[in-house]
Amino acid sequence: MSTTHDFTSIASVTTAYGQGEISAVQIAHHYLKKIEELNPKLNAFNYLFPEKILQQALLLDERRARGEVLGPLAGAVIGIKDNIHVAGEFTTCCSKILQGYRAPFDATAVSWLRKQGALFIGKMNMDEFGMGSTTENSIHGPTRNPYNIDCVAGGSSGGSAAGVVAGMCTASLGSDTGGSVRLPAAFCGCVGVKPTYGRVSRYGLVEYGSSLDQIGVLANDTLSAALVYQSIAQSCQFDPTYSHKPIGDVSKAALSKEIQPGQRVGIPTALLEGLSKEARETFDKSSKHLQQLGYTLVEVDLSLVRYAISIYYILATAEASTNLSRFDGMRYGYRHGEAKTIDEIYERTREVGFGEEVKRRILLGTYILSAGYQDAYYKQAQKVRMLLIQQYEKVLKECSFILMPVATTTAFPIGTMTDPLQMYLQDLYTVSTNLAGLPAVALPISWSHDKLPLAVQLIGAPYQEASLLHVAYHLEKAVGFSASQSNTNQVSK
Amino acid sequence: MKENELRELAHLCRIHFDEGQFQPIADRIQNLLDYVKQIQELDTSSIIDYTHPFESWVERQNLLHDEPCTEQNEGGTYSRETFLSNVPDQIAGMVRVPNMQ
Repeated sequence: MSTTHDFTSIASVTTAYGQGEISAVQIAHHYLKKIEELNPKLNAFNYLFPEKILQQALLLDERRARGEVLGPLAGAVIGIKDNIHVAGEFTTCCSKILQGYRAPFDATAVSWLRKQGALFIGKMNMDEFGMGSTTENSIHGPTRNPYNIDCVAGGSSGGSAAGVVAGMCTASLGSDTGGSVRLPAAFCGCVGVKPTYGRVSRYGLVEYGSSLDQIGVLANDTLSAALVYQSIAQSCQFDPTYSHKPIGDVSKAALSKEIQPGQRVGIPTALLEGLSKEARETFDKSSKHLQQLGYTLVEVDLSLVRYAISIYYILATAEASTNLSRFDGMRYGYRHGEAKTIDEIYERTREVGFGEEVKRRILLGTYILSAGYQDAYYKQAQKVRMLLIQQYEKVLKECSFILMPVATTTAFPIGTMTDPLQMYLQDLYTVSTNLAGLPAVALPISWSHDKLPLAVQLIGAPYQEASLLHVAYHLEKAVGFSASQSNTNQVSK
Repeated sequence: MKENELRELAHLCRIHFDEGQFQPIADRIQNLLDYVKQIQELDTSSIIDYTHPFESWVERQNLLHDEPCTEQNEGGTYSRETFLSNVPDQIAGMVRVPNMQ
């Protein structure tokens, strides 16, 4: 394979593999070498499976040699966030309480990738149990931004974003409960797809907020993201919240040249006041490009998004307090060695096993659900959630999709956010999409004066991922972000 | 939030905290509660049904069959041994836990 070959896109890798230009073993070695070189600086991967990936690669090459049909992702190497099961490998959610835990089965999303010829190289760093926006809350230490290693990669799927951008895998899976695919995608400069709630099976994803979680995709370009998304959004009989609506050919729809006339994009101007100057410029640049592509801008009212952080941190922590009650030292993971009674085991295991942020959210969620406070907080939050959903439904009748920022600013230095509330406010533009169950695509657009990426996101009606990816594909071409990456300080250069 | 409230809450959560940790944690939790209670200013009297947020566009929950899962997928096997392999302490195919005291 030519040394100038592009290992950063699914199409490039799978085409080269399909045409016999390179073996899967060579591809695996390429990424293992990249990880060896860059992971000590970036900390994107926690656990690697070098022997397994080489075995898988060898088997794939043998199947290719026999002329077997291999699947559309044959040769692609996918990194997996450490809260998603890969059978036989560690799933720790970057928490001490799950140390040593090995997944008994593949997540459905992983199983579909496997069937379609993808190879797995390792588990990726994350905020513990998905609770964080920077990937600083990991027992393995923070993941660093490939464009400035003193800055955060975003979270909670920071490893998944940094690994893809630095070329350590072809694409990756993350999870998005309140923005945890889109925010790291924005901070690291890659595409992040958060599906409609129920579009991708959650079987094999460790639960954080069950009415909010979705497995998402991170990739260096829209077509790669579309190909991986299409692969994982397939049937599942084990997740009762999975939607069996047909998915269609998403990648074909994304590449379609046609932009239907008269499509309108919603602009929530009133929500933009909190943006930094450069984030606002990025948003305005995106809306201008969309106009030039033929879309009509319309002002929309999403005033209830201002309450989204409050709704989210009530409902998500309530759901998390229940979901994390299973981690008690009994059936899996860490058990406190000196505790003697059942209660001591529970209390000491959870004291030592969980990090500070996780414990704080469990406390908050339990309080919200406790007698005397449930009506004022939990039930009210559920009702306000319905008001927000109704507002989004109204807006999405007025336009085909919404243009929204992802973050108020660029990636900030590691250790900046010491106040939990200040950290939570970083999620302002992302959490409402999870509360409303809507699909969203984050797309890198431009660079800050200090050469950090800036992004926007496109939010659509339920099951409109194909349309969103179509818009994203054309906006991506118009903006030319990837062509400008050569002027940056990216660590993998 | 007072320290004794946090003690009760910590017990509900089954998480141990050392003395001296309670008040700082209580203050942080109170800070968060002060922020989120902004939702109480909204009029939600028009909302009747709120337990199925996506009901207008999602199918009703697909109830699963209550049968033992024996399917072997390509990545793993649903066997007792596989699940027991993660148990910290087991005996005769069962999870071993301390006696109640």
